[in-house]
Amino acid sequence: MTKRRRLMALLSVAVAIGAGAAACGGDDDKSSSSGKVGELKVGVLVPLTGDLAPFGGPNAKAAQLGADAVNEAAKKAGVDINVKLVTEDTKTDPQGSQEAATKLVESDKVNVIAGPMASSETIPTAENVTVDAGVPLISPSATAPDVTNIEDDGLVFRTAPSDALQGKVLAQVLGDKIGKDATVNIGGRNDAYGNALLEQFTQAWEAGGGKVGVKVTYNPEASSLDSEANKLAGGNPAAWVVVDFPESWQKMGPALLRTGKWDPAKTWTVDGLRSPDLPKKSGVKVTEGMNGTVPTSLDAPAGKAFDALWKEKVKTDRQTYDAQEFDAVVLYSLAAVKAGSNNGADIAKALTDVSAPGGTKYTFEQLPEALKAVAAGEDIDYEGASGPIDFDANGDPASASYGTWQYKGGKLVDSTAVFPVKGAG
Amino acid sequence: MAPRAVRVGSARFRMDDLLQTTINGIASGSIYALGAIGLSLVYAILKLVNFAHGDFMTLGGYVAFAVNVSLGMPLVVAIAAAVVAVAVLGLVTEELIWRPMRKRGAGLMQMLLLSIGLAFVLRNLILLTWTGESRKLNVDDTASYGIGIGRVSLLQILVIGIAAAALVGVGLLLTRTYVGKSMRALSDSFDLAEVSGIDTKRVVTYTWILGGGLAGLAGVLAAVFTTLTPNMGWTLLLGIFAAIILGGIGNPFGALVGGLALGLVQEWSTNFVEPTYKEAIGFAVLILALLFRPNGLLGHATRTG
Repeated sequence: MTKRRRLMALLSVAVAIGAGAAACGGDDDKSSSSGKVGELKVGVLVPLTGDLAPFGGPNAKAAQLGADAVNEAAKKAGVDINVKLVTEDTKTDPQGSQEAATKLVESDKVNVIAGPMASSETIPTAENVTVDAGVPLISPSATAPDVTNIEDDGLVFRTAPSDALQGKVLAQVLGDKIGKDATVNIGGRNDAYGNALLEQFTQAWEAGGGKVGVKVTYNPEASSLDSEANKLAGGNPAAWVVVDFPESWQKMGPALLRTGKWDPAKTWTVDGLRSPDLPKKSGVKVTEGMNGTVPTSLDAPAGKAFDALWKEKVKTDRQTYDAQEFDAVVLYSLAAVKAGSNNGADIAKALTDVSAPGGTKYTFEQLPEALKAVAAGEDIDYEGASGPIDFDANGDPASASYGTWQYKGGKLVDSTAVFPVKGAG
Repeated sequence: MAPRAVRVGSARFRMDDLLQTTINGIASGSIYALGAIGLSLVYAILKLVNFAHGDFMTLGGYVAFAVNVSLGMPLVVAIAAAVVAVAVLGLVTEELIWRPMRKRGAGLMQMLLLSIGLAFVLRNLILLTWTGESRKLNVDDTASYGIGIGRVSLLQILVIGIAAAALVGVGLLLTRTYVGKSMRALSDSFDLAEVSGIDTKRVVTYTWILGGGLAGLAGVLAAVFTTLTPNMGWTLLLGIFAAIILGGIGNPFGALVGGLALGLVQEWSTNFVEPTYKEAIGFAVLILALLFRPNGLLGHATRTG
């Protein structure tokens, strides 16, 4: 009995200490009117390994650029916010992403999460981990239309536009090149991203009078894709549309070439295969002449400035979705200052406000001024490095611009043409 | 599923597709078969379900990568290095793990769990050494040649040719040599073989050399055939187990038949249903086959009671 009583006493002391600590935390949070945030812990979920590995490293660097920009600007502006990043590898795997997110939420106690990148990671990670924990999530690149419909209590956002738009743009660009009534073969990885894009493209393509000859969806984990490639290559179509990620393309690309019936120069793809080092990794023959679309930041309010910043600080080639990741970190910081808190739910409520029209426009180049204005309670409209963003009610960007690109001479070449699309979500 | 599959089948099924998927099936079946024979031998003789076998293969692939790409030596040297390295790994694990465990009377389950642990250790060591980036060996993976109405790639010629040579070699070893016959004797009954004067310790050593070497070879061929990642062997392992069960557990020739059958069924199925289901079809056929032949294609009926 004495033992038990001692245990009870210990427990009550522990509870008292805990309550005290919580009360202190509460005090900190209350100084909201002056825009005091303190430390903002951002969990960064990136695919350092797996099928999206080429995107993971550059995206982690983009998040760091964003954190550095905010911390520097906060010092200049005298605003109390200090962004700290905790980075975890998702392995480009739904399970890996959920494990990483659980670690960030439960053990690192992050306030908000930037990432993950793949739609197949984002949907389960939001549904099973972050929404229940009340932690907001901004994916820089989950483009599957289904992300819009997650039951998210207003906690899930993305800085990349939905593929409901990219499918249309791809059909439009391809129609201009080969004629709207042509027959194309389409193929892609069997996951949320691949299936959705193929579906969106097919809808737009058939609506414009085009035909789809053969459709092949394949398991990116399969050890050999020769039979799949043979099916996709057959039937002499006017062009091919493929949706894949760089690592699995190293299996599918050569397999298609081995059929002797496939021509990369007649192949169109999307953002997932736009990676500067892909020709070197999968072999130049496998990518030469391939064309694609991608959400572009060419006409973004701060697109050029971000390009210059990247070249100065990171020095490597730009990677798809780096600007979207940067914007995610900056938006979190602005929203935190707006809410005067590092509480995830409060930040999520302020995100739409700092990104959407109404109020003075600021880009990251005027970040000290933007922070000062938000801290003073003014309404602002952050104009991103990736685009105007302007979150809609679903947490999707309300408009987006797409560009086209091609692998030429083993190099990634972006075209300067821009296709703006309105009305996402 | 079913009605749609039939429609697609009757509309698109053609002779050249059948031939093409047969070639593809033999190639991927060869890798299952090579992996399965090594695993089956180790199980038959040591009663060890080695879940680390897939990662033995992965290690073989990476050793070949180090020799072939990092050091720039020819593929033949890389294959030899991988075979030797994984055979040595087999012997080292026998000395450090399996024999001491057997001496302490560890049962099937303890050994199985140990092998799963070993698999994780190996995979993460590989990840530490070579990172998770996917790699390729220095083989032209775009070359292919037309034969009649089908097409065969350089990779498939390499994989099928090398696997066939190795399988014939193993077959001869098991049926014609003293060591091979001793192995089969041990697999029938370890104790009976021991009392009849067979040096079981020596045979166990040869088993690891053969099983490990085959895993190394299978790993190189898998690395040639697909992309080399730290998960390569682990993802192949499920198919390899299926091949063993399909062919008849513990029978090396059954493993060969099971591996080829699995590869062929998976690739043939792409003529009738969405290719993304081909792995699932492979396992559905495994279940069906076991319903009619519970001991596998080459398994003998077991005495009960």
